[in-house]
Amino acid sequence: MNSTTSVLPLAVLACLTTIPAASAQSAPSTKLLIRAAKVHLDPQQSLDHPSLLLSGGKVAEVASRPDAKAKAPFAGQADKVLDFPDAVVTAGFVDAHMTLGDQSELSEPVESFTPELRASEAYDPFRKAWKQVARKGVTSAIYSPDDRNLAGGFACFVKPGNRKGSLGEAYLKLSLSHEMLNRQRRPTSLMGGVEYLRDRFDALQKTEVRARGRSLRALSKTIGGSHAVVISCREPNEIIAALDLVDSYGITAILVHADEAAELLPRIRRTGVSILLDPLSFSSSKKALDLPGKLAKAGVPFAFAGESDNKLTGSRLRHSMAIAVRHGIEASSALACVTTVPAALAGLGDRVGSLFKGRDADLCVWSGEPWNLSSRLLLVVRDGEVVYHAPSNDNTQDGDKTR
Amino acid sequence: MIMSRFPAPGAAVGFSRNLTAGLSLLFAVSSVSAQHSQGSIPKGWLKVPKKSSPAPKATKAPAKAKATRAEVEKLLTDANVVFVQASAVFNPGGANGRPEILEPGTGYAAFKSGKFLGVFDDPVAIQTALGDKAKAKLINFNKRASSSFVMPGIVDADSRWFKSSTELSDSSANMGTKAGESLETWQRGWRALVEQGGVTSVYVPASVSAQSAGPGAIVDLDLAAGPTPSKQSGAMRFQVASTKTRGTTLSREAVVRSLRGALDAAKKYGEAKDKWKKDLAEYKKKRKEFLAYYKKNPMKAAPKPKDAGTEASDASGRRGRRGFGRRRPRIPPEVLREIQEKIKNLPREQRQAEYMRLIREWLQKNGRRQNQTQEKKPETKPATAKGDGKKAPPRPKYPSKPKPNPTSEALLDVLANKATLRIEAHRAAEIEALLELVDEYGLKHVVLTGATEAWKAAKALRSSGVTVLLDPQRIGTTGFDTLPAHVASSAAKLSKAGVPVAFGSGGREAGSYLTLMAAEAVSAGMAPEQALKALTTNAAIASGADGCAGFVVFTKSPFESDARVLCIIDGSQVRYIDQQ
Repeated sequence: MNSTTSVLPLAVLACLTTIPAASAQSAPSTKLLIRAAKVHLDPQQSLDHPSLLLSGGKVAEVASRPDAKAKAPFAGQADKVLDFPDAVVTAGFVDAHMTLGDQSELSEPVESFTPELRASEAYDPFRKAWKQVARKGVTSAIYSPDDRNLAGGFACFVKPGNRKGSLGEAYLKLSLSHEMLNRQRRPTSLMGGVEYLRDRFDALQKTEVRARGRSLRALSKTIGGSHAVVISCREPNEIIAALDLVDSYGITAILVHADEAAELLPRIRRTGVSILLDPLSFSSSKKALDLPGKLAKAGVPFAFAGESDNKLTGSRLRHSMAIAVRHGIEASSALACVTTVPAALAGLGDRVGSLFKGRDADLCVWSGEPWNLSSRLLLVVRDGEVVYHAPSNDNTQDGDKTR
Repeated sequence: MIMSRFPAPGAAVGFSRNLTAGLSLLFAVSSVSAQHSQGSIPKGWLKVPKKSSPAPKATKAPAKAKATRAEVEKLLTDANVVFVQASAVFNPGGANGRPEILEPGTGYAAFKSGKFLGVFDDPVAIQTALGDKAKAKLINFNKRASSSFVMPGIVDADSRWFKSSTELSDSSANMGTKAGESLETWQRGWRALVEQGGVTSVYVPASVSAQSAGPGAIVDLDLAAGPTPSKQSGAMRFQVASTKTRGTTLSREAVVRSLRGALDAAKKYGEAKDKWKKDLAEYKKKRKEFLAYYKKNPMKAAPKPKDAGTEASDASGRRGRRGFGRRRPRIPPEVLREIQEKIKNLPREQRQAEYMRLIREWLQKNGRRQNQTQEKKPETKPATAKGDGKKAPPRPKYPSKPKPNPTSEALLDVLANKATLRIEAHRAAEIEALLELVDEYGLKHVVLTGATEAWKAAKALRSSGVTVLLDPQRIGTTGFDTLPAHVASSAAKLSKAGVPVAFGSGGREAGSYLTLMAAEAVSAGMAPEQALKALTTNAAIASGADGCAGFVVFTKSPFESDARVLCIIDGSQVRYIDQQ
């Protein structure tokens, strides 16, 4: 299948997002060396017996050793060495659509069209749940407005558990799903919502740049591709409306919650949108379970999103990956759906989601392959800092006090 | 066709030999740099060639026993025997009854009629020597999957297949409601359970909403014949508390009391039933004697009463007047005329009172029934047998039968340890109260479901021998003491404490992911053998079944997400699933 062609427009636009190339936070001064049995640099490339030197919050060097017992290379350069002789290293997981926390903070109940809002204003880096998310292996997330506003505002890039705050602006969140409808304000129907968006996009084209208000200025970022748009749409008619908007105004779109996307695969592929899937669980419907396979077959880029459940966030991405693999998706593709693809969709492909030299030192060490649920999470490193280290002599996860 | 069942632990184990493959790989030191730019989705993220994972490590050495050539020849000439070469074989009842994972190496695992016979050295040479005499099937999956894994068929101990959602949520169900009476075996889509998850039988409850429900159904998933209900009746269900209805301590106590009451009532019902059976036997015996006596001494016809046809009796000899209620006294007309004569001259207003007084006076004087005909019972002699001198036995009375009670009837089987009872409870205090009840009544086949806080009552559970069925759909989330990754962590903690654990999906499609559920428990610290046992024999016990249906061969360890089902061994039949 030719998946690359279908995602090129998105890729071009996504790389124009305004997330800075390097985070403003101060990098840890300790040089950390991690040795393991295997590393997935990205889902396509892996090395046996790797040594990863982490310095300044980045992956400084990656090399393979001649055998499992060899200590070189980089042994002399590190301040601290962590050996995992039988373990597998992957990049930290990327959650491209997270609405963690108190949902009343992530929508404006009085106004429906608020593209000028920023989720970064509502982001509370000190919330305990973020730390828990990091300890499950999610080292990057896009904190997004929820689905209750027609235009909810701009999402932001965060590193869970990092108390430095937002690291940049990400996509604009639109919603055509039923959560957006509210009898107390306009619009009160899907057609009203679509018409309102059309009116705003038309107004954008007719209004001079200087005459634009705050909301139009915010909306203008989506035209020309500097920012992608994430559209929440669940039912087929909502998906069709979203695709019509994309076709009409040339915006780069990612559909979220689009469980009915299987009905419209040719159109979706033609329009060139990507899909952010709701997390899979053991109780998911057959339709939801079949969708990743159908999207993969059609060559539509998709990634899993962990969404908002405080207790399960983090582990949901891993469950989704494991269930998708059991349902017939290639293991490496499933790994891509929680690392490189969401990173690329969020415009962070050069920073997170892979472990090449120069990328952020965000990684997870597993006792086996990460898509096997029998593997244990042994270590999580975010920006070169160890945020979780499983107790060495304990064979259980009792040491993990996260709830 | 009914699938043959893998029996509970205790199957015979042969011998095997381990093959330790030593691989030494040399890798050159190479530095790797960035491969793709910002924002671009990496090329080929969707397609990569398959890589095989390493075989699971054997956690216990297989039993060392040598089979003679004659024994192997005997097996090879048996058409019902299937030999499978696999990298690993799970035997739930290994040495000392403990579950074990065997690594046959180049040896073959042999199965016959749903039984695991053991692991034998390469029988191919002997098969060649035997020529046409060899009738057993030899399958070598290692040619296709280098790390194939054989285990008994997985049992979904809490499925929602083959029942309509309306019936499953029927809150009016009781212990008399049987799941087997309303199975919808024509439902479509069940094959995914077998083909993706290696599930060969499922337990379907009679109801999940009612406080109690009768025997569930055990359905074997036969790829050839379709879903086949087993003749065995599944476990019954009693709910002490649910995750949805958060009761108070008192209300929960009341439910525990109600279970005790139900068990007591069943006990009394059983005693009454036993007494009736005893009485019935006695009655039959006496009746036999009674009939035998009169057969030997035929009855004489009873003489007719002499006064038949008199005023008091009708033509048939029956007494003339019978009725209900108080009889009115019959005052002779001449007496009435006399009274009327007496009151004739009295003032009008006194006549009625005087009339009544005189009547009463007459009645007192003559008695209430004085006027009625004295009915003398005609002298009848009882029918007599032609006397042989012995006294005739009295006619035996049929014993009164206790009123049928389906709840007590069902619980009787539980009390007699013939049926399995599932009790849903969540809080540790409830669980401990129930365990006391289980000990008090000597119940041996009890399964605890829900069991949100079972990990807190692990010690008590171990001593009672109760199996805990963990189902992610029936875990309380609010107001309970839960662990991170609760089902997996609970399973690990309970298993470590020695409590038998079983897994159930609590859904339909989720049945295909039972092995993933077990894999998560392994990552939380559960021993792989125990996790496999929880999927197979323990799940069968929790369902009320004798054992697992058939065997399943995976491409690799079932804990790995990309493991696929290669075939199902059902008795001597091999049903291939992965035809590649």
